[in-house]
Amino acid sequence: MPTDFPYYPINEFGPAMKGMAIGGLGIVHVFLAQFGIGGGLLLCYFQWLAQTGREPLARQFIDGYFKFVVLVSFVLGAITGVGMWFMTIQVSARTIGAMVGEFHWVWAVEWLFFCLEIVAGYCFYRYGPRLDDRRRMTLLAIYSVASWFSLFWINGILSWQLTPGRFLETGVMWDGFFNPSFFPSVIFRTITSMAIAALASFLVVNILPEFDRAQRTVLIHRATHFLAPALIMPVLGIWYFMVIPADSREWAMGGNVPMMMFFVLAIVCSTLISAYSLVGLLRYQLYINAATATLLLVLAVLATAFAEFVREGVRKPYSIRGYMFSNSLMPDDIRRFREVGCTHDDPYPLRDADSYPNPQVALGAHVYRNLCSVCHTPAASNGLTHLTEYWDETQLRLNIAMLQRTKPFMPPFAGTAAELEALVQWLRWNNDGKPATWTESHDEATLQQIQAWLDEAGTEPWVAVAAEGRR
Amino acid sequence: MDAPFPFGFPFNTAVYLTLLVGTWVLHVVFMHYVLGGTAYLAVRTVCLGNRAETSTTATLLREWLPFVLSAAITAGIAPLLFAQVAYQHRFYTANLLLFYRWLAILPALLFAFYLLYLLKSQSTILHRAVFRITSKVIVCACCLYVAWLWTTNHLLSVQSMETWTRQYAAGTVMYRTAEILPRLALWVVSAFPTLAAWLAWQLWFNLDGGPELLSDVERETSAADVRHVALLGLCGLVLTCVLAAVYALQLPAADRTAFTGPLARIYLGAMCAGVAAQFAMWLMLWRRPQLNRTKLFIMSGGLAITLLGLGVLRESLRLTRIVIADLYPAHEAAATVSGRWLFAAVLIVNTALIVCCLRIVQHAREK
Repeated sequence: MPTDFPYYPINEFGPAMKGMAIGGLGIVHVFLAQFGIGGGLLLCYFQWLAQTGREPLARQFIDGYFKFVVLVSFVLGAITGVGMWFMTIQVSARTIGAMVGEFHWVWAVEWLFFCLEIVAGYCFYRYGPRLDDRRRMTLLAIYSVASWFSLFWINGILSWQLTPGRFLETGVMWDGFFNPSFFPSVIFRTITSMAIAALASFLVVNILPEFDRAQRTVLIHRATHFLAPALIMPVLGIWYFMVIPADSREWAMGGNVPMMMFFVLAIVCSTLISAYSLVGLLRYQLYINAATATLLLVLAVLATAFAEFVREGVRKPYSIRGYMFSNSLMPDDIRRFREVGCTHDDPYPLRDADSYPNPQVALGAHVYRNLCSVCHTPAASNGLTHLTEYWDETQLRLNIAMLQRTKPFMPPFAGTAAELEALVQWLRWNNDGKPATWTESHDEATLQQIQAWLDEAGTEPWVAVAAEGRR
Repeated sequence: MDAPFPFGFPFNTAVYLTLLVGTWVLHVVFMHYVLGGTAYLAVRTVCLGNRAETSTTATLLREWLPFVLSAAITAGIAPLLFAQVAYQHRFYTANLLLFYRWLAILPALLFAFYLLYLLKSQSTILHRAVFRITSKVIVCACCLYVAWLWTTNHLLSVQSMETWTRQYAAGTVMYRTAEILPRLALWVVSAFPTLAAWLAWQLWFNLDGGPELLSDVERETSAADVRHVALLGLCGLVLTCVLAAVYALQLPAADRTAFTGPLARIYLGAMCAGVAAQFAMWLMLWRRPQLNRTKLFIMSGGLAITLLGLGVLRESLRLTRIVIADLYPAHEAAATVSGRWLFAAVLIVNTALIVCCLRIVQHAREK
């Protein structure tokens, strides 16, 4: 068992749940990155239209559209990408550390594609209008391939988090990279990128002043072709759901109400976009103005947000399935903390230790900080007060001791019976409005009962026990 | 450590440290342009007002800063990655201790980015001097803020657990130490010789008879511009040497041995040679302001050696403050992961493709 657990200083995000901070930033980044990737493919298509004489307006459109790719994707996309890294460190340094440890060469390869993407992109941005068709296509193709490969590499790492596949047995990086959900998700994301690029082009065409209404109509209908692959998204979605773990699937299919709602909303938003695009634009050749284009883009942002929420959510209770729990603990850590406690070796003290009525409540606050604060707040978003205020004392002890059975998407409690009792007292003190005095609880029989519950629940997450049962 | 960097380390540690220093130098080449360029524009516009807009160097900077900032951020990803492999726990701890102040890098960069594009676009809003001056000063302030944060982060990451716990318990996201200011000042002034080298190349590309780099920059490169850049390089070098001495002197004697010990001694010597080469070339250009390839290549070679030496010295100082041997097992474990040959192969292919892109651009310029 490990004895050198790497403790990190843990920050509170105020009333916001840490997941909201990283989720919000992540959604913006994913959307912008996919716009950049799809944008490259769309521009290659338009360049082909231009150089084969199929569409005289295409060249003009490309030069206008690419400015938006640079201003939005290159700038905001790049900075939110770095931001994701920094924010992940804030939320779970151990998770990003594990990902870097296992995939640093893949990340380094992705970086090489970023470099290529930036060089090809800026060369086109600056010199594209002065180049002949063949050279324009070369630059656009290099840009496009480079940006798609950045998706390819990062997709392997992100999909590994949910479906590590054979990696858990072999520990071989490639087994983790080409994991069961790699191909459905990379194809799904490619098609999503194409759809986002097409939707963005509807808006850009309306913004660019050099086109009149008739020309805009022509360009919009050309770009609409990029929405056609969206027809196979349901098939890809089913494929994806077939390969993810059964419990993860169940969360989205009704096992967890918020997850199911977000899943349904993602489907509804995607369906609305697809229906309008395929029927209205492809079949009936409708014109689309800036307002409608904006509305469709907002729907696309929402679809991305809901889908990313589900993708992140269905991993629970893990941040890396079978490897690390959402509170950054590994299975061995839980076993060890059951013996020595999760606060015992923590060098970082409580910042507000004086504000607690007694050492036991302070210990409870420390346990909360180390085990719970990554997903919960005391009384704000996903607040423990809201979740536990109607539980009585015995219920609190039992439910926390058997946390993975109380809620299967929770990890097992990782501490001693005394720490659990301290957490219970801290919760009760919070739920009672933080009175100035609070009686300590050190009843031996209670601690023995808690220990019995902890032993009964074990240190395995319930999803693993259930999966074993299914086998 | 009794061998020059990186030979005294176990193989895997040496690989990661070399990659860290190598990619960091690449990042610095771009970062110096941004840091020096924004400071140059801000100082110039505050001192000269409307006259600041007319120079070729100012036009070049306005034109190229957005792209180079983008390149600096992209190039910065690799050292960020290898720093995590090499010094994971320390790097993350410093990030966490600085918390929202560290995260403020993101809005600062974003703000700087869009303001640079605004400056490049010559938007009508910039016709009013107050907006022009304000925007340049803000961009410069954003870049200095980012530089200050990185300096703070680095210094905090090499502290002991006692300092970290004290910092955490105090609940502050500020880390104050006497070393920050001289170190930051050194970084800022050391950006100017690199900036001057960039500008000299850009002026040379812009010369009559030379290949045109910028269609929208005035092609009238005068001797005055070259002398101006040479003076920037000379002053930058002199100031860098002075501040490097000040910085070294305020360090504890034990830390100073990082620069003169076997690990970095040879790099310190190479760095001095690099500085001398740059100084000689800038002096020649100041006296006789005619750019040519030979002078530029010698000066750039000197700069490259200087930056490499700077990178190794920076790393050596860090290595005297931590016990690197504690990290050997982590580096060994990281090295068992597959992918290094893929990295090497993609490095070759993508470098070839980057060259291909630049050749296409060359064609456009010649046309």
